[in-house]
Amino acid sequence: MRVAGYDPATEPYEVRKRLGILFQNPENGLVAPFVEDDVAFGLENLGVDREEMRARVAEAIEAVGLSGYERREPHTLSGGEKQRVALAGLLAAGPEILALDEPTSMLDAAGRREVLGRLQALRATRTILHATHHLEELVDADRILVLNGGNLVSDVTPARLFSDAELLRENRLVLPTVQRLALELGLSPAELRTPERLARAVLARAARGAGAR
Amino acid sequence: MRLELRDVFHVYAPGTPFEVEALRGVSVAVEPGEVLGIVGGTGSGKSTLVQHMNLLLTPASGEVLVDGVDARTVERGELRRRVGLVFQFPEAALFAPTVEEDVAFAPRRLGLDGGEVRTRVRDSLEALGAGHLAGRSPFALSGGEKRRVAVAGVLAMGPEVLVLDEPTAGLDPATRGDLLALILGLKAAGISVVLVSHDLDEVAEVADRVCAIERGVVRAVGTPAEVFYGAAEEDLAPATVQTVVALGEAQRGVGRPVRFRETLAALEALAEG
Ligand SMILES: Nc1ncnc2c1ncn2[C@@H]1O[C@H](COP(=O)(O)OP(=O)(O)OP(=O)(O)O)[C@@H](O)[C@H]1O
Ligand SMILES: [Mg+2]
Repeated sequence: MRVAGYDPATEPYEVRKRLGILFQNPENGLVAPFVEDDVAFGLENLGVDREEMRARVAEAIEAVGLSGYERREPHTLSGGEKQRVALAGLLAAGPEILALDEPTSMLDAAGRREVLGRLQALRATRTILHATHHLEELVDADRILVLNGGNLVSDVTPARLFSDAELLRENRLVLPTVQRLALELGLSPAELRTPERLARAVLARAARGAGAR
Repeated sequence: MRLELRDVFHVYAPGTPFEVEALRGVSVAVEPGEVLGIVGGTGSGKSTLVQHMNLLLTPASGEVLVDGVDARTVERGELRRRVGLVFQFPEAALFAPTVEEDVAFAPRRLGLDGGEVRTRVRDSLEALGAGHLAGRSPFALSGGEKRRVAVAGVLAMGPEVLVLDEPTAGLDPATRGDLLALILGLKAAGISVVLVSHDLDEVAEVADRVCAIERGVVRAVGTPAEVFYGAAEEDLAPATVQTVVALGEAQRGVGRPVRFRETLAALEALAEG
């Protein structure tokens, strides 16, 4: 294995500078006594100077909507707040490659949208590995790798995966609710990604039916 | 059993600069044998609320009633047994060398005899589809398997109310589906289930009633249709409801379906005219 050309076994420091990981259980990543130290933790190891560090930490905390939480102790936070702190740490460090394991599992709808929006913006300059069981979070991905039993079984576009019922079934993947409704209605699941589009397609079909009668 | 919270307030770190009023006059009941969904944004007070159900947290003011009786008068161990609480990310608390011993821990502390403990351990692991894991080390399991074992540990106490705080967060669809089936199975057996979840689609599938909380206050309680159609514009509706609402004018003939199957049937009827 190589990360940006470096071997993690012999050059872990070089790898850590370039690759940031967000763990599935946010508690596993929180280490410091206060939220702000936790967010700064990754930066401290990068040798960033004090001033810049302070600015980047403040910016990241603001970005995840946790202003005012700087001096809170991480263990007193709610599940979603912990996940936001962990994400802020990653944003502050700003590695070239972000590996995220179920980054929105504890977030509400608004939080999920914010995080996905931020990841979308980061794509221009970063590589993102986003592991999730929620396929709706991957609709805009460049590629989806399907793993099963430790093997890479497929490397496809979201549109391909969403319309391949067999591939989904074999790997016990479940389409998002909107796409499942579309599929059962005989409409194209890959194109009808939002409730609004699905509703329009249903209405269009009803109108066509009425016209034919 | 009927569990009721009446005008409950909870304050964390009172008198410090970090004082948080996490619950501000919450009243809600869990009726016998129902599935009550609890939904609300990050930090709205859901975990705080459910930890009052077995007095793991005590209210600053207000009451918790068990079948009409002040829960404080019920012996602590008894209350913790009757109201089983599964925390957010419960797998972090697995500790025994084998799955079997982990699940046996709580029932053994109830003073049950060895035979009864073994039966309960077997039954609850089986209910979670985890019977084959009994002899394994909990630390060497997958995330989904760990979650199954953690839930089995609480189920083995034989609760009358099972409270699940984000039980499906981060889970694969197969484990998620099994957990939802378990919830409906418990309900059929007369056990009440409280389900805290950010996944409104899954709450829509299993809940009899929904309680929506926002910044420590109950914003709505009622059937899923009442709560979700009342909140469809505010980020608090499952994809089924959002789709029906997006029909606009045409929604009138469709009614207010919430579950997947009902919604599909309603959309099919509309599309076919
Ligand atoms: N031990 C604690 N000390 C201080 N404040 C706390 C403590 N536990 C929770 N809080 C605060 O109380 C509020 C409610 O927290 P709670 O965990 O009940 O939220 P929640 O609805 O479960 O959120 P989530 O969906 O993120 O899990 C939050 O603002 C949180 O920061
Ligand atoms: Mg919580």
